[in-house]
Amino acid sequence: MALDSAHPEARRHDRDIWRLPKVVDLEVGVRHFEPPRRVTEEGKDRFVDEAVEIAIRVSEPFETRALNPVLWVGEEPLTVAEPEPDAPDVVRFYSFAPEALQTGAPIALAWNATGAERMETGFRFERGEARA
Amino acid sequence: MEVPRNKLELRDDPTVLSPPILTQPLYACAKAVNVTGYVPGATLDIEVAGAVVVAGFAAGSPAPFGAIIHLPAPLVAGQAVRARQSYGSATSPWAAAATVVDHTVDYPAGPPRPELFPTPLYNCGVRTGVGNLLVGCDTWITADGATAGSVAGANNPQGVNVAPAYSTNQTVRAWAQLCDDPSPPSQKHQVQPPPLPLPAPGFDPIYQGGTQLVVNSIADGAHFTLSRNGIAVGTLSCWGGKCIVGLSPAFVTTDTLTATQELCPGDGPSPPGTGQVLPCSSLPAPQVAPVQDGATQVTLTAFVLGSEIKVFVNNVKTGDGSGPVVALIGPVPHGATVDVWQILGTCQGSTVQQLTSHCVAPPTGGDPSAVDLFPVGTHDYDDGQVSFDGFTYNVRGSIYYPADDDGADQPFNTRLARLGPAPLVVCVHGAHDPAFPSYRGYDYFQAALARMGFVVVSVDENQTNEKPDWGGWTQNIVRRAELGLASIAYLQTLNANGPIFKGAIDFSRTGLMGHSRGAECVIAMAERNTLAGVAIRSVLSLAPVNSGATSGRPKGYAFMTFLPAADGDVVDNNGAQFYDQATPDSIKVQLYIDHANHNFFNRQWFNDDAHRTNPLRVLPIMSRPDHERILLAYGCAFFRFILQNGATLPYLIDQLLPAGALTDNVHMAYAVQGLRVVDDYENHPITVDSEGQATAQLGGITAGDYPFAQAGGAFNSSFFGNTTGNVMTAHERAGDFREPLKSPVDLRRMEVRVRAAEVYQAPNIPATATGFRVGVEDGTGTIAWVDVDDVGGLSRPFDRRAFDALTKTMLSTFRFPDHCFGANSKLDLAHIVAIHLGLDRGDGRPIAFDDLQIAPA
Repeated sequence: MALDSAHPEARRHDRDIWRLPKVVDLEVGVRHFEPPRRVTEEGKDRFVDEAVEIAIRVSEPFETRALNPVLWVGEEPLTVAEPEPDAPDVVRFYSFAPEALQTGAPIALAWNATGAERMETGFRFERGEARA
Repeated sequence: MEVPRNKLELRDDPTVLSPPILTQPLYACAKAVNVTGYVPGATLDIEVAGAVVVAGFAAGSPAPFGAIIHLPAPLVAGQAVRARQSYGSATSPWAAAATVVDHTVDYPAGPPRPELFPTPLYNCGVRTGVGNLLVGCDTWITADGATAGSVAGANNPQGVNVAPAYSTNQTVRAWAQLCDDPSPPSQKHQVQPPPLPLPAPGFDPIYQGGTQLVVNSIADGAHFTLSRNGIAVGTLSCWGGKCIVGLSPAFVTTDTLTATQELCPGDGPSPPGTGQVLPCSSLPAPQVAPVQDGATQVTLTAFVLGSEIKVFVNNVKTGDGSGPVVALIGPVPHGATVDVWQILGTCQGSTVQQLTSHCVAPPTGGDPSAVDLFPVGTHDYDDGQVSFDGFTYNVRGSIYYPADDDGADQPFNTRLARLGPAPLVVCVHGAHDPAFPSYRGYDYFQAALARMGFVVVSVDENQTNEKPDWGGWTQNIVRRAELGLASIAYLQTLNANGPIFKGAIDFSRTGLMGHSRGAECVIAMAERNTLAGVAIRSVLSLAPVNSGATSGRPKGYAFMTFLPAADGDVVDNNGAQFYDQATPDSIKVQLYIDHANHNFFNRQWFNDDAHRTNPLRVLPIMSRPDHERILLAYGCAFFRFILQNGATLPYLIDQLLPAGALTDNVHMAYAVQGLRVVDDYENHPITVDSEGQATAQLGGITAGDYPFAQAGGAFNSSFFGNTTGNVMTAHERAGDFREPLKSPVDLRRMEVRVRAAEVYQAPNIPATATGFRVGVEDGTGTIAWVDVDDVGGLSRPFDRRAFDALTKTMLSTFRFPDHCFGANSKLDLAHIVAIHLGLDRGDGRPIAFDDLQIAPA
């Protein structure tokens, strides 16, 4: 019998968890929550009834992984990224501290990790609207 | 290091013989004892209760599992038993006496269940191994319920001859009993047809002068026919794999050995395998595990079966026996040179293995995950729904538990239930593609814990992985926690109403294990738990994210976190933040694991996250089984220690290494409750320590407090924890940071502990390691120093540069026990007034320090 030389199997890497979709549209508004929405910070719950909402339309779904996407408005991270159940290409980010959002700040998309590459969306933040 | 023996002046005193090793513990009713570590061909004496009951036992070869010596009467609890060996004209000292105990002291629910090996079992197999036995017990094998073989007074493991031979489709089990107390049966194994044709047997290296050889590649339960120079030696049965055979006279280089193997006669023999004899000059030195100061035995990691092993300490013969463990006639002194020499019959190895004993070199202990007491039952539940934040979830998951027999919905183990309810461990997976049943991914961990008496639940949280929920980040993790608690509440109903679990679960001993988002979730579960009677006493947080769903300060329970150094998902290793802020209730432990990725701890997560494409970025990682071995070993040690009061603490504070895990890849930090903290560098300037004493920077050293975090003011961007520490640099070889004690300490039987790390300075990692030393100063100003290289050495940064810019400075804990400093005879260990951190490399490289403590050794 001929002796085969062992060959290492390829490592499985069928998911690129760092891939980010392109942002094809963006809309800024004010969202009212009824009933109030629970927001947890440092383990403490509070309830808010209003937030600045930035809804983005994306070219493809996000990969499900440990980290969340984050939308950077200037240097302010928006860490909630909720796809619309009936329109999964629409993802809503919320700011519960709207005073931290600076008018004219560039908006970028990234994963929530140190040094993660930020993908500029081409949009800038304007209250009540987004400007391309 | 292998060195020529003739370059050394080893004093081979023929009167020195190691005391043999009596396998312990010894249990009442045992009909035999097991002795290892003696010189091949030695005779053994066994003394029971002061009387020699076996004299001059011709022990033969100690390979592979020592001598099993049947006693004239079964052992009785309280008896003292000793063994000694004689070889040539020498007789060893008696080994320290072992006291016989009742097995129910260690096994209150009865003897552990036997394990059949190797498997699968094949048609026509005539011999099987049985392991996990109490030495001296009775064991037997049944095939379709009929006894097929038995041994009274068994070794561990024990080969059992089977007659008649196995038949395809028979169901085979092993059984054991001691003192008429039966174990649970082994797992069921079904006999299979063997793969034909059987392979040719092989031979391990055979050396001139030896009288034993090892035939390998034997099919499970086969017999093989061995010939020497064309003359049949005989036909032998083997449980499979490797089989050792003794032959006489000793091998010569012109010998040719051949073997064929066979299972069913009608299938015919295999092709023959051939072995040649290597010349004596090829006999290598044995491989030896690191030796720690004070060691009274030497452990071999590789040696030739059947060889004699001689051990020399500072050229003086201190041991003479056989592998894998050779007892010494005295402890190894600090910094001793240890030479280990292998002799095979008339062949004396021309080289020896030489090593230096170290102040700290933890020996390898057992496998904390190997406790196998009970069959494992499984129960899947899906009962009712709960809603949080407008999301609705099914309460469901899978339970593994100690049962009367293996399988779904088996009764809870009757004998264990009589002893009281069992502790609970709840596992929570993280975020992953919801197409995969992530909660099934820890089945191996659940089964291991169930075998040792835990009820282990893995909660199905896949509905939280659906996109609208997953994207909620912090709130997603809070909801995961609430869903996990809902499962515990459901378990309470099972515990109240049965049928399987009525009264079986002890919720006052609850542990949690979470992975990824589940790893932050379990911290949140502990903080949000308001369930009556549920006390969360231990949390294992494996590769957690840190979204803010918790206080960030684990408190009120023992805490352990795993940080996979090659994590390609949670690249920040956020678990370090939790470790730094955790209060060590009982203990906190951090494992920074080189070559571990994020996913391979879960069997349902197939993707290798440490391998990115476009562009290609790859980190070298361990195999998936090696990831699992680390979770099994350290996770079981953790939960056993906290929830079962098990004797596994040494594995958690680097005093013992778990067998079978790649411990070289594991860098531990740990802290135990209630220790004296000399300096944690928190809330005071570098000019004073935590005891309020004025520190001093001497010898050109610079020291400073810095956030060990991704924060402004950090020394550099390589720190990923959440604490403050001391970074020191010295360009001279006399750098010294003196930390006075508020009151003197008696350091006898105590040790100094400090966390430390080589600071990574992007973009380069120097080719060689750096280090530091610790000094203790007595009331007269005498300082004794011990180098970190003598206690394990400062680990190197795990290099992630091929993957990202997140190579980290991650601190490990180092122990400096009292005996390390004792070599300085002028030092008064009973009156230590200051501790020194010394930088003596002169390389100008910064070292990070934290948590300088004094602890019991």
